[in-house]
Amino acid sequence: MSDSPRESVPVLELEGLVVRYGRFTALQGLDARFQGGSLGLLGPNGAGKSSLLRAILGLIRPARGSIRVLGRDLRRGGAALRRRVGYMPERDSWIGGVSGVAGLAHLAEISGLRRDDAMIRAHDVLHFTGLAEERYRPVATYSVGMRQRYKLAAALVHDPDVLFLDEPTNGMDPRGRVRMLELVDRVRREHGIHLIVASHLLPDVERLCDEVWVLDAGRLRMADTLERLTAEARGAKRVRLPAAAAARALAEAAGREGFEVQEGERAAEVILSRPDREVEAREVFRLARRLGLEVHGLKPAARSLEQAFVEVLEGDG
Amino acid sequence: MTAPPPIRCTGLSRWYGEVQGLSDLSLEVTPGIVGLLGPNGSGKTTLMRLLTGLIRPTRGRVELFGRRAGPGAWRLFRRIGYAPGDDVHFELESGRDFLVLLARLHGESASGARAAAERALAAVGMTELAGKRLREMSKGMRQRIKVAQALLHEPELLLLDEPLNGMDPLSRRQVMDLVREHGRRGGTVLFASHILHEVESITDRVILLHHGRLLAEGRLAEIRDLLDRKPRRVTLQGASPEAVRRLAAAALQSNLVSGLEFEGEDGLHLATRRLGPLLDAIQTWGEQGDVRALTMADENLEAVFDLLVGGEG
Amino acid sequence: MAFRAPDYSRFAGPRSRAPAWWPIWRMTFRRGWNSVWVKRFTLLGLAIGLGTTVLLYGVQQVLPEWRELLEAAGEGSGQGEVLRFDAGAYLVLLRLFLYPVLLPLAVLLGYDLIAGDLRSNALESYFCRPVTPWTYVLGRTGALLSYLMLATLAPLLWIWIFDLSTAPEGHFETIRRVPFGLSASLLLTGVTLSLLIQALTTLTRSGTWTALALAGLFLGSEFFANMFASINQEPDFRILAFFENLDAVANGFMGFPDETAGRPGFEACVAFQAGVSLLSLAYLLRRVKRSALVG
Repeated sequence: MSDSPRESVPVLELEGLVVRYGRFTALQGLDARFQGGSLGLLGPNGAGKSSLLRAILGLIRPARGSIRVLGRDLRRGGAALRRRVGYMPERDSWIGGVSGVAGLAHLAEISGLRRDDAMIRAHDVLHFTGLAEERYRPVATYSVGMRQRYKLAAALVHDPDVLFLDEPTNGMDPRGRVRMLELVDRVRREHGIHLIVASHLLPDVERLCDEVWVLDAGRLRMADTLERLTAEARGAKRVRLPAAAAARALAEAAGREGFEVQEGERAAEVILSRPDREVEAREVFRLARRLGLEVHGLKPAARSLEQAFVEVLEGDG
Repeated sequence: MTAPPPIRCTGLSRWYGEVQGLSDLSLEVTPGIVGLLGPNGSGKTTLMRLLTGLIRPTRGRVELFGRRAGPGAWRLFRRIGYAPGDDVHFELESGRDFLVLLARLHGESASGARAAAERALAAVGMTELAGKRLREMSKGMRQRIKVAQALLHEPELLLLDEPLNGMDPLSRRQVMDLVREHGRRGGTVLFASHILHEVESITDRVILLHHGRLLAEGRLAEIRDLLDRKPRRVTLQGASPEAVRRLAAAALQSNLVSGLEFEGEDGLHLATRRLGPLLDAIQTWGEQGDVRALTMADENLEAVFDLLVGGEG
Repeated sequence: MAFRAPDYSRFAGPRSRAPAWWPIWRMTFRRGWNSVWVKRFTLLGLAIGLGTTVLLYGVQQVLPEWRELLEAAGEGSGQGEVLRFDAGAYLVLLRLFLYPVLLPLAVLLGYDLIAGDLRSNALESYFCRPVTPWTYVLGRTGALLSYLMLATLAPLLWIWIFDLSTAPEGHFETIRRVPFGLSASLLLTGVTLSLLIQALTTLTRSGTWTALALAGLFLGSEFFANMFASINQEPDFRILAFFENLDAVANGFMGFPDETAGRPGFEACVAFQAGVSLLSLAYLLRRVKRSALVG
């Protein structure tokens, strides 16, 4: 398997994929292809992200259409395919009654590793995810963040080629989130594991993904690279001030001077643009000086993924 | 005489047996939006519960709008809206019926309750979906019902515990707009969240708890200024390679920087212990057209959070 | 202060295509042994087996002709009963294992496994790997059953072998049906119980409720069996009565069918247990599929 050239086989190909639960149609005819790298699945609640993940993993049978993962048809290569994918579910999940490391070794063995290899891998991935000290404790005693990292360890223990993450940082505190994102990022950058992430947290997707699919009401609304989605807005500048009040003062004055003013991503930020030309740094500094404001940041404004997302979903109804 | 602040805590402590929930917290929150931050288990939820009178303080007192709060402070409850962090609701009820019931509990007439419920539902964008039973709703939808429930009686003080958890980006935006609007109209919002990026987009005032203690409180930039342990890093992008050299020379001459490093053709990193004067100088250079971009490391909330809570884990 | 974790490494070793039920089997076994009360009941079963053989051995050493003496004592008591260490004695032993060992073990182990998996959402971890609901149920039930047999059938057979090796010629004829009887009765009851308990647990989702439901079932079945039997004047309705059913199956397989009037028939009881097993299996598979595949 691994000797086939990776570039030529797309990681994921969907053809006319329809998924139904009873009478409810969760996915209505998806056609898409993900060549490889890292993919973010976005969409409002009920858009079909989880259904898509579950269908790809073979947890739900599609009503119509086909799914090919790493060039294999899911219906035929089910078991073989599942040895090569790792899934980190949204809900907590572990094997009860045994220590963290024993449960993990067990899962690795199920995914096709030999018994001794499975035990070695289980210890290794727990070290990697920073759970080395907790590995002999039952998972039921872990904290929210630890359980989340344990799920990542479980998804990685059999060394998959494709990693599926469903809301990977859900419920984690800021440091836990940063740590989780760092781990996932390293796995994909340094070890070439393909990544498919479903998340509501757009900054997470921005951090991890090169490509983005936006789903809405069971359809694919957009598929594009992150780079193109967040391309610089023409000539706009993002200005950062010491406090929200200062930002409001600048916004007001700038409005009078003929700038177009937008809210920034932060309360202490404003985005300034000109309808006709690029905004020059010089004029912003001068304006701030006149108002007696300290400038804490000034740079070309990129469009955030959030803006792009909202535009896609609200764009054409 | 000024009006009493929406929230005032004095020496507030709460213990669960031998477990510390919150310890000796004193603070005052003036109207506006305040982010309540802290790692898991730092006491955010305990504080929320103390403020809403769900639990009694072990020691110290809570005053809301100048009146003592606690279990049974009924009059105060009308001025507070609380969206708890955990998932509590009547499973079999539809979202709409649930809100109407709560509005009636607040003393509304039948028609008044329906109107209040519709208003709250519209505010969170759930008008069409509220007919579903709560049990059948997705997590994001239940979260929105929870926020709607806090808005029902149009309270002055909103206490929101992780309100955006599980919401999709569109609903997040909607709720954040709603919070901003409440702040703009002079209301007070205490907004607990783990997603620093979102907190920062609605406010620059934060309260940071850690291990049940108050670690920092105030405006982000002020808190950062107090943390003078390491020099601040400022990165400039020059308008041209020549401009970068001019900037470097000026920076050295100004005697304000303790370190200087070039990056690529037009990048320049400066380290300083005298940020104010340096920013002032940069502004002057900027007015002359030499600076194209200015960024400051560890100015954002994540960096400050890391500096404060850091060192462990 | 970036977080530096030990590095991740790719795995280049061999990957087996071994079926997934085998690790599940082993894990189930291990979890059984890890639980305190399960361990106690298992040890109880093994201790009864070992104790009986030690007792037999001791008697054999002191009184080599104890078998004849026992027979003579039976005749001497004048009740016309023959006291012999024969198949009848094994029936008594079987009951000794059935109620204090098999039953509590099946309950403890059965609900702990399934309820534990539901509580920790283990099914999601399993079914994204090469595991199907069938493999899962096969691994779990197989392990549960072999555990139960280890604690009951193994010591009983051990006693039988010991008895045979120390007995005089001709004793074999009297106890030849015993291994079949023991295996058949314990296996059927074991399968029925483990499937029934697993199915019940997927319904109640908690250990306590399963235990209560089972207690209700055992007692309630007695009540309803009596009621139906007396209303319809048909003793076969008594197959519903749980303990009577187990007894009848054990008696039948051991070669002592109870022909007393008012007792349920052996064939009917076997059929009833088989039916309960199949229904439980069907329900269990359905629940496992639903809770794992659509959630």
